Amino acid sequence: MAKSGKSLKSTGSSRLLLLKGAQEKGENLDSERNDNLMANDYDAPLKLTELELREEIVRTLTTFDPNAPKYPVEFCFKTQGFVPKESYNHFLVHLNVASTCLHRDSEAAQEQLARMQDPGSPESGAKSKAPKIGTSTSEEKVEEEEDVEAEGGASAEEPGSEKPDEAAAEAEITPDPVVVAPAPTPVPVSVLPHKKLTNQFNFCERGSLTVNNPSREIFTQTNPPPRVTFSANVTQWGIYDAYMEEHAEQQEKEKEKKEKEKATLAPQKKEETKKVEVVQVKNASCAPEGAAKILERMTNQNTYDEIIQDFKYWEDPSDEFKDEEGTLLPLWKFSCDRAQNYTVTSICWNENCPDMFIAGYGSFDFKRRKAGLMCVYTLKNPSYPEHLVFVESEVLAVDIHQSQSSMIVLGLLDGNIEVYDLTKSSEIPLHSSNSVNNKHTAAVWQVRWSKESNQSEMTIYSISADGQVLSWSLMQNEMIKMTLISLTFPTEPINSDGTLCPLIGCGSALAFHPTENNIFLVGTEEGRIYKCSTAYTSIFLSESEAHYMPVQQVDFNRYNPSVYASSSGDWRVKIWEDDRKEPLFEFDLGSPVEDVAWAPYSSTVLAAVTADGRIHVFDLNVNKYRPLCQQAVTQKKKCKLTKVSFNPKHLILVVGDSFGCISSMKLSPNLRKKQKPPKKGMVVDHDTLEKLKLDKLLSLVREPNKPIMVLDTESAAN
Amino acid sequence: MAAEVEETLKRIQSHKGVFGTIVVNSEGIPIKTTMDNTSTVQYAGLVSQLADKARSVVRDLDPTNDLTFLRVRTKKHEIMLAPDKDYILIVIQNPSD
Repeated sequence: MAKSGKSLKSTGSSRLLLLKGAQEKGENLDSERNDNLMANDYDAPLKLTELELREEIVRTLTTFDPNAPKYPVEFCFKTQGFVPKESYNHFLVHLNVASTCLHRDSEAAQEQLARMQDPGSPESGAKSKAPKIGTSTSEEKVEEEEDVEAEGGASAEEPGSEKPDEAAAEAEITPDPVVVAPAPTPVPVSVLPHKKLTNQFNFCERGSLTVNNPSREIFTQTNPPPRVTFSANVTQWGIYDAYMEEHAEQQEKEKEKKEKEKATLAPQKKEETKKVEVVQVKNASCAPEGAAKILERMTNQNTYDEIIQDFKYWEDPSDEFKDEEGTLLPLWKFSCDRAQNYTVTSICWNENCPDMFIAGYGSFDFKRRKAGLMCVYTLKNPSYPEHLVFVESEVLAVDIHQSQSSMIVLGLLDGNIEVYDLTKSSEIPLHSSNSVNNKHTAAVWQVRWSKESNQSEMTIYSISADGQVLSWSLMQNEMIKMTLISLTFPTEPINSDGTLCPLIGCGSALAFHPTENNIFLVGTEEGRIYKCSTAYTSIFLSESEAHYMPVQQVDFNRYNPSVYASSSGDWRVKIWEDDRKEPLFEFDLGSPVEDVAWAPYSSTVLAAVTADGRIHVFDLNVNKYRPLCQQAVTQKKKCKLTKVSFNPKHLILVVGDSFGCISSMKLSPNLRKKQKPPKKGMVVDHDTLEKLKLDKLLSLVREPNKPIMVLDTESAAN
Repeated sequence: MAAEVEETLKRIQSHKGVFGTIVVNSEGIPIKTTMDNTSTVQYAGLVSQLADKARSVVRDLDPTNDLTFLRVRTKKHEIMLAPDKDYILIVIQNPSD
């Protein structure tokens, strides 16, 4: 450096270069040389004497920074002068590299050494790297160099030779790490963790990412399926209905199956036996079918509200003060436009449906023949009949079957008998006796269903003016008649031309015994009453000369069937007992008595209607001589009352008149007195009570051969 | 509709105190009426809803049961309705006449 410096051409600034090494020693020297130099020509090379050439100039390497100021001073504001400052550090940092080397004695290094002693560790490869690291450090890292080298030396058995081997065979060491480091190490290997110790400072997890398949989206769009929104409410009854339908379907299928079986099995049997097919007829239901009918009844209910209330609840309070008098409260009037010209000829109540009755319309005027009418009325609808059926000829008699109450038989003026079925509601009769032979030859006055026990055969009894009592049995397609009895006179058969021909009376009334089905009463137009039996066709069980005029009606007492009443055109109502020639009671009502009927609720009450438009109600228990009630039903004088009938259940009766109008009336309490049990506390049946009452009455009345004759003086005077 | 039902309706209409009769089908649309249009439409809609609700009540309580008729008596008159298989009959009457 120095020599080269001398050879340089020097200027004023290059003095430093020349004299760098000897700065401190020779300031004076410098000045000398400077003078020397300055004086000389710088371009010419320096000429030195030999002495000067041999002079040894000491050059020393120091650690002093040549650029540092020698005497640094600082201005101090406190003392207002310059103050020497301490010389600063002559330390220059040329390179600063952070390294991962550790001091051998530090804890971390110890740990690392310990781990490196571990035979399974793949860190033996790291040891070979150690000397490499050491060589790359700068001047300041002399200590680290030693450290690393010591490490490398400590770990290997033969430090010198093996290093290059290790370095060369770095890759091969890893499969055989056990051989490398069984050497005694300075680090004690008492407790070596086989697994990594993790703490928050030197634990690091390394995850690796596998190759992910790139995802791609592929979609297609189709037409959406057609959608319909459906909503429904499910209720318990909906489910029930569904089940019922299914059940019905199943039943039908079973039926079909059975029918098919029958058809295939026995087609022959049908030809052989000619059974009377059991006509399974439903009872005419009391409930109306269809909403229209219901509504009609409802409207009527509103209109006739007061009457309905009266019908149910009205009890005439004045009856308490009237001792032996009663009244009849008029309720509804049943009439039909079409029936204006007709006379009510018969009324019959429906036993099963106590608010329903059937009225037959005809006329007693035999001169003009016209169509007859039959109406079915119900108390619930007073304004119009439920059913209306026009019949060929005038209806004179009506009867409803006791159990199958939709079967109705009509007796007509022309001698025919027709059977209708109300459930079928057609104008055509179910059966008809319409043929030349198969009918009565005169008007049929009364028809009755027979009360038979088995329902397979239905029989009708009829009486007509031709003197025959016939029984008709209903077959599948026809009615077969059979003469029960012929009403012959007891007189000698006589004829004008001498031939013997029995005289036949005309029957006008028929009544069946309530309990014994075989016995019936017949009333004739000659005023006789015969007691007959279905078993004997030619003999009467008993006969009596009852009236002078035709017997209009005969009726058995329901509680004591040996007692019966008869009414006739000779103004009289007579009450008879079996085996008595004379009547028990006799009432003269002043006008032809058209009808008489016993009350169903009492054994001593009966009603009679007369041709002068009045109704008479008797209670024999209360008054044996007079009626309790005598009331005019119709206003017009010409109107005759023709029929009377008690309702089997309710306490009303209906009266038919000759102008086609039927009036219903409620019985006042006096007319329907109930019998109290003889001793208090005894619970006795109503029937028995009534029977007892009647018996008591009869025992009073029964006097040998002495009937009680009552003249109705009031009406007789009119 | 059956002739019998028509005849019955005619009779009801001529009855005392009846304002009008309406026949509504199962969807609530009036098919026959004797009243003016607006009232008919009103009555039909409202009353058929009421009928359905009433019927639902009755049948929910006992599925074997069914509604026979419904009367709604108001200050001025009385609405009566009777449901049938495919229709509902409505009658408005003034009962106190």
